[in-house]
Amino acid sequence: MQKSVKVRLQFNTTDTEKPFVHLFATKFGLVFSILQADIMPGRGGRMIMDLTGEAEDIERALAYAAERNVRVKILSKAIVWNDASCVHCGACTAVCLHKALTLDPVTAELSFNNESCVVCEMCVKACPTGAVRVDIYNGNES
Amino acid sequence: MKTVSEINEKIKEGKAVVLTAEEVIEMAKTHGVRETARRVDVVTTGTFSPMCSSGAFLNFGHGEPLIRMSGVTLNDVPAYAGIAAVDCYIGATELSSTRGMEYGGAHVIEDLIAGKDIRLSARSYGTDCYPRRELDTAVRLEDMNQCFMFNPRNAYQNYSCASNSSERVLHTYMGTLLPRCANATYATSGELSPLLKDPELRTIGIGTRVFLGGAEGYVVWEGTQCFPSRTEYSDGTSSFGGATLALIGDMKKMSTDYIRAARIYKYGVSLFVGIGIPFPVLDEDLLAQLARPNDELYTEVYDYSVPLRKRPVLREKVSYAELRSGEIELNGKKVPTAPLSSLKKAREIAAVLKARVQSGVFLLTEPSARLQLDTVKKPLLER
Ligand code: SF4
Ligand code: SF4
Repeated sequence: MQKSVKVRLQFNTTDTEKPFVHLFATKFGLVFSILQADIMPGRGGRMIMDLTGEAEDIERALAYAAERNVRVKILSKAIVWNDASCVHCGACTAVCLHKALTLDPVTAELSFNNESCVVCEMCVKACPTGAVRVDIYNGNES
Repeated sequence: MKTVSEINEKIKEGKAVVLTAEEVIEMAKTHGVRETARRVDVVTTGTFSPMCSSGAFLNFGHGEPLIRMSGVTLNDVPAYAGIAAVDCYIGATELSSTRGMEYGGAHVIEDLIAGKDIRLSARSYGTDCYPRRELDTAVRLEDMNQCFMFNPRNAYQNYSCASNSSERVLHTYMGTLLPRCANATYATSGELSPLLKDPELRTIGIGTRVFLGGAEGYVVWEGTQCFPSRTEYSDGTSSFGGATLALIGDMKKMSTDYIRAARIYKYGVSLFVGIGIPFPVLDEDLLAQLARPNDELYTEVYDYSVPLRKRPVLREKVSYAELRSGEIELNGKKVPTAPLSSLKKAREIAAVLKARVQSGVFLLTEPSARLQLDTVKKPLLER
C-alpha cells in the first residue's frame, strides 16, 4: 500500500544526516521532499519531510533511522483551513513563518499551501475565528 | 463647493457619482484633485476589525408571571442586567462561565444574528410587582423586541503597529507577537479606513448615518477615549489619529457577513465589526484627504513587551504602503508584517455601501451636532 507521511527527524550530529536521507531513496525506494531543515553544523538539528512509498518500506526506513540514534516522530496531523469561516484578517500570517498561509497582495484573500506547512500549529491559536484547525489522520499511519 | 443636500438630490435622481476610497485614489492620480473633486460626489470607506468596545442592548419581552431580571446569562455568558426588568446589555468581551475564552459575548451576538437559539437564564430576588425568581428558556433574535448594537468605541482612526523586542512569545490583543521582533502586526485598513479619510471629522457628527454590521447605523457620540491628535514629522508630512466613534444600529438587520466573533488567544474574546462610512465630497480640501493613498498615511511601531502607558516606540513613522508590502524595516532588520483587520472585507463593505448609495437607499446625512473633539486624555489617578 502506497502512503505518504510527514515525519520529523532529530539528529544529534550532522554526520548521520546526509547518508540516510540519501538511503531513503536508494535503499528503501522512497520519494521524499524536505519541508524544513534546521541543521546546526556539529550540533545536529531537525528536519521535517514528506515520505511517500510502500507502507512497509516507510516503516523499515524509519526503523533504520531510529537504530542510528535519530529521533523519529510521525507528524500524523495536518492543518485544515476552512474558507467558509475565514474572514481573511491575516492574523494567522503573523505566525506562519513557513508562508503556508499567505494573503494575496492583489485580492487580499488568504490562501493555504499544504506543501509548505510544517504543522507547527501556531496558526490554530492565532486564528480568531477557528477557521484553521488540526486534523488527526486515522489509520493511515504506522 | 457642494452641500450634502445637493449631493442627496443627485443620489435621488440617480446621478450621483459614487466611488470607493480605492477608486477615488486612482482617479485623483490620473485626473488630479481639482478635477476629481468636481466629478465625484460621494466616497465610501470600510473597515472590518476586532473592536472590543462593542455590545448590544436586548429586550426579551415579558413572560408570565413577571420577572425583574437581576442576573442574566446568555449561553452561560453573563449579561449586564442592572437596568429595567427584561432589558440587558451583552458586552462583546464577556467570557462564558463554563467555556472561558472559547465562547463569549461576541459569540452570543454572532449566534443571535445568525438566527440561532440562545439559552437565556435569569434570576431575580422577586418583588410584589415582579414575583418570579427564575427563568430558563431558549430565545431567538427575531422573537425579541428592540435589540440594538451599541458600541461605545469603534472605528479607531488609526492604530499603532505592534512588535515585541523581548525574548518570549507574547499573546496580545494585537495577535501573537514573536520574540526579538520577528513579526509586527497592524490593525487598520489604511486608505480604506473611514476616519483616516476625513481626519478632522468635518463631515461626521452626531446623527451621521453609517454602515454598521450590514445594517444602517448612526454615530451617537464621540467614542470613548476619542482623543484626536496630529503628529507632525520632521520631513513636513503629518498623520492623524486618536478619533473614535460611538455607534448604534439595529441588530435584527445585521448579518454575520459583517459581524463576527473573534477569539484572541490568551487575551479573550472580541468582536469583528464591519463599518462603512460614506463621505460627501464637499470641496477640494476634503477630496485631497479622501484621495490620500497608503504611502501618505502613517502610523508608528510600538514595543508591546513593555506593558506600560508609555510603550517604547520602535519606529516613529511607517506608511501603510510599507506595512502592506508584507515587510517593514525595524532597527535595520526586515520584519514580516501581518494585518489583523480584513482588507478583503473592508473592500467588500466599501463596495456594498457604494451600491446602496448609488441605488438611493442610503442617503447621506448632515450631522445634528458636532462631536466633542477637544477632550484631554486623562490617566487614572489611583488614590
Ligand atoms: S486568522 Fe483565521 S480568519 Fe484570519 S485570515 Fe487566517 S484563517 Fe482566516
Ligand atoms: S501549522 Fe499553521 S503556522 Fe505552522 S506552518 Fe502550518 S500553516 Fe503555517
